[in-house]
Amino acid sequence: MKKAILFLAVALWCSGLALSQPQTRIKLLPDEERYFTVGLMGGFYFLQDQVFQDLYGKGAPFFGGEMTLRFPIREPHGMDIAAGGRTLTKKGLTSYTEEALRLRLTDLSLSLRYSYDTGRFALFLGPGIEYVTYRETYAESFPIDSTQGSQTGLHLTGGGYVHLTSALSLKAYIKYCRVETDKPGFRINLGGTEWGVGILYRFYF
Amino acid sequence: MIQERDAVFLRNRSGLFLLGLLVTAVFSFGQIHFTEVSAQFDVRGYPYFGGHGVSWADVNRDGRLDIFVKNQGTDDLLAVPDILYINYGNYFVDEAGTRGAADAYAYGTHGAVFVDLDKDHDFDLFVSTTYGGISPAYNHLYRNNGNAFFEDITSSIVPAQTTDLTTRGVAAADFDGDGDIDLYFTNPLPDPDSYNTLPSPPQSLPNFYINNGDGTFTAEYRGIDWIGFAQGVTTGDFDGDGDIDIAQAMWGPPSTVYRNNGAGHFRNVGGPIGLSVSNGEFDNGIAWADVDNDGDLDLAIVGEGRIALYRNTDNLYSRYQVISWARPIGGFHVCFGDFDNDGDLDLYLSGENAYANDGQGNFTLIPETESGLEDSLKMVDPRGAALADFDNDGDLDIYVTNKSGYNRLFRNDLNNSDWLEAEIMSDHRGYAGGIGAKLDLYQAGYVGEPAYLKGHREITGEYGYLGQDMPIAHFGAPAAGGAKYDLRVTFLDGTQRVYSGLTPGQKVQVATISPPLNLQGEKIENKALFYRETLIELTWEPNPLNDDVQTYKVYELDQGQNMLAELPATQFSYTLRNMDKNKVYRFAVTAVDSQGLESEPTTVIVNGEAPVERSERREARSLKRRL
Repeated sequence: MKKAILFLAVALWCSGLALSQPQTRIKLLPDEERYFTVGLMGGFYFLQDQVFQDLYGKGAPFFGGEMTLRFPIREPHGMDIAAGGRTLTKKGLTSYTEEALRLRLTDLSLSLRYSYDTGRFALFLGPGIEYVTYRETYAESFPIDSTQGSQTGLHLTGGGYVHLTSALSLKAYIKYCRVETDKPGFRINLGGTEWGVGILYRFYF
Repeated sequence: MIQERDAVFLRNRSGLFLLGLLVTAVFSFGQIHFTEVSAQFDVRGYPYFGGHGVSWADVNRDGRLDIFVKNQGTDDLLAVPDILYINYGNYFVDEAGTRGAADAYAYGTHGAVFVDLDKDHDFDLFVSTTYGGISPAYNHLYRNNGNAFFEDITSSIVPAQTTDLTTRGVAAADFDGDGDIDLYFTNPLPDPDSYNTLPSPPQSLPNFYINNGDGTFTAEYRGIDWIGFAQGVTTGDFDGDGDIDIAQAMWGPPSTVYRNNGAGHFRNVGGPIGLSVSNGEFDNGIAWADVDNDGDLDLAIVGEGRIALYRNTDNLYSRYQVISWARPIGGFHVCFGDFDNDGDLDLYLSGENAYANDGQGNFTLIPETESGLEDSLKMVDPRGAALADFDNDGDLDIYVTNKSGYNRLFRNDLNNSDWLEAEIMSDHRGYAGGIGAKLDLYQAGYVGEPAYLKGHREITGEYGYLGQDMPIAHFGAPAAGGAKYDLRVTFLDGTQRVYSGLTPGQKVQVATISPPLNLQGEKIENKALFYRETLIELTWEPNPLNDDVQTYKVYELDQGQNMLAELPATQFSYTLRNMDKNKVYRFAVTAVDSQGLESEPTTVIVNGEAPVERSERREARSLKRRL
């Protein structure tokens, strides 16, 4: 959590630096143009659930993708609509018998974000919804083969872009998800903190 | 001519050879011969005499049999202590006083029985205290603390003793079949003048101490009326129905047998089974033994200058021999033991002589010049006697008490290897000694076939007149021709153990399989992220009494007994998967030996409380953080 706060502070500081600069923009991006990005993401997802941490460890790597549609309002301000997905697979051990476990979490998200794009950098922050599907597979000695299901939740995400060229950007973000399910008869917190980086390609229209 | 001379020579050689064979055969079966060694071993008793009962047992578990001698006091000499001779190999030392077994009652004791009352595999002591005019005269109970120091636990039966007693013979066995040792005692009344008075009607007095299972006893009447003064008492399963019957020597009415109904209630069946006629007015001793090797208990009744021998045929007794003697002694104790290791039980009458068995149960006097028992005939007032292999040489020695003179120890000089001994270290209920167990010796390969039965023994406490042999079954087992034997041990619950291919000249230690210890069951939650499985983990410890465990069996006890698993002897835990976390379960674990004998179960109830969480990884992390 400290890292997330630190990252956010650095991002805000960077944005402050950007705003304090003269308003002669570096024209990497065309003014007043809507654009659409697609990108590939990777990172770590740190689930909050204590049982998850006992069985699988603190975090799990994931990969995914993202599409973002940006609507400028009055440059440098704008709104993004972003949709993305990620998947992660993690192996673990049961708590007592230490038999093999395998968990797959697949996540689809849709978010509406405020964005501030200086042309060189962009920052964004906004909420969204999550749709998580899960499947946990058990060893043969277990009385059942697997458990699977899905659950929706909410998230809040923030991050920034560094525009390398007019078409290519790097992205770093943090996302806090809140997803809980009690379908097995007990509560599981699938939420957590997602740290990710990605590379995006931009289309203008 | 030369050929004729050679032929004569050869005939003569053949004759010599046959004679040699005959001589060899005679000596190979051994001769009954004893040497009196009481002074050498310092076991002659005290100068004030008074010896009555005698019991052999290894009270300090050092592998050597010790002697307990009961002494009676007199009006002239009160408070005669009992004697506990501890066997130190080459000598004995009386340590009754220091070890807490010297009865302090003024008029002394008569009978006693060593028996493991508390399953701690040592011999505790039940001693009869005989009223002589000073109250209270209660029977005493001593607990052996494991190394032959005795604690007086008479308080456990004192509540049952409300009157002074004139007890003579005592007995110990699981009479009611409930798994613990009960006690029986004769003459549950104080009046010594009643010796010659027959009660009318018979008195129904509490003469059993029934074990409550918690270390206490309750005095109960169980069907044995006081019908006259009783002397010696013995126990055995004369009718082969699997429970312990009682035989009792009587003054006045005929000595008799009480049949057990299986639940520890007795009925006098003396008349119906052939004991309706009294042999004389005063019977002192009574003994059961299989003298004809047919697998049942024949009977001997001693008193009035004769031993009456009864053969058991289909649980009916018929008198077939009466042994009399010329010396004017009343006759008290009769011992049965295979003194010459020839495979049948011989007989010794206390203070008299030995008699050889012809193999059919017919006894012939062995002159004292042959038997070496001259000193036996010199005893003034011989009383109890008991047999033991006190020098561990494989033959039976005799200790005889003397009311009016020194006691005697007769060492058997046989010293051959034609014997087998079986010591029950732990019976089906975990008791040492195995009172009530039956031991049958067969020719190897023929277990259970009557024609090949070589000896039948039943472990008992006192028998005859206040004598208790060593709690080890001794068999004569001739080794000629490389003979081998199979030993079958049948415990009171019917379970059996068979020891096959035994070579003569050894002692077999019999131990039934004892249940595992400290069985525990715990519900544990085994977690996946999306699944919670309730496990039940059963754990137990091996029983140190067991040396032959092959497997453990795990049962669930739920409307019956459902075996869940059979596990190797090295495994002491078992995990049940996917259990109901709210249900109450009951499990049992048994141990099984190499012969398939299964122990009593150890049980555990696993309650319906929530399963506990346990994760070694989490605990390891927690420990790491703390460090």
